[in-house]
Amino acid sequence: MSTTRNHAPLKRVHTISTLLYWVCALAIVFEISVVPLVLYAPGWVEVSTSQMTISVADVQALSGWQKAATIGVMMVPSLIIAYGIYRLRKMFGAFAANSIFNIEAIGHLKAFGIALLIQTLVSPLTGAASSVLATFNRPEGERFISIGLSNADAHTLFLSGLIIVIAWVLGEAVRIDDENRSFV
Amino acid sequence: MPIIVRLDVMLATRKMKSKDLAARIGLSEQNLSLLKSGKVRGVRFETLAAICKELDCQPGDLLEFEDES
Repeated sequence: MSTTRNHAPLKRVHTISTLLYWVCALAIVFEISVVPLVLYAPGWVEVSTSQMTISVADVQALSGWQKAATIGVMMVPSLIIAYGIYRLRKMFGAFAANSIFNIEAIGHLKAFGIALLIQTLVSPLTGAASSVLATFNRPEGERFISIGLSNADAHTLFLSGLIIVIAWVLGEAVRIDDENRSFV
Repeated sequence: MPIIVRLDVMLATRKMKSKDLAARIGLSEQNLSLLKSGKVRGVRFETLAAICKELDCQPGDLLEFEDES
């Protein structure tokens, strides 16, 4: 009876981790396809972030390499966070395989935090770069550089820092646990 | 590691099997085997005391220091 009780939380961890493992897969697909979807299926979603500093119509009016380069630059933050989510997915995969207090799994959490931090820092820069790329060949007076910073970016910056610190503390805890396990 | 575990010698002297000692002191056979082969980073005083009690010996009978230099 007590064995069943002791295993119940682990079973829950396994169930939730397996669920989140697949949610992360969907999130990766979404992150990679969000920019093309916004551009090729206008009206499908309203985007108002530092990543979208130019209007969808402006991007659609472009052609050739300019359009490809603008979309490519706009996708950089999405690709960074997609990599972060991929590492988060690996962490949930490890949790689902009952490898919970493990330095590798904690490393994935740290990598996710770093990816989130980089994505937040890079977003305004790629936003500015995409606005330059989209407008540099326009007549004088119509060219612009747009840098977008939102409240959400500041929150994400704080959150990513928090995740990195938590991952670091967990890493230290794993190291101590490992040392304790090597004592009989 | 300059500390050598002499548990196997003491077990042979007392004619006791590792399995029996592990059961008596509440340690897993795997951990006792690791201790016997010196593949652990440390021994808790609690474990050492339990082994000494069962084998009727002193910690010095189980551990030996060998200067490697």
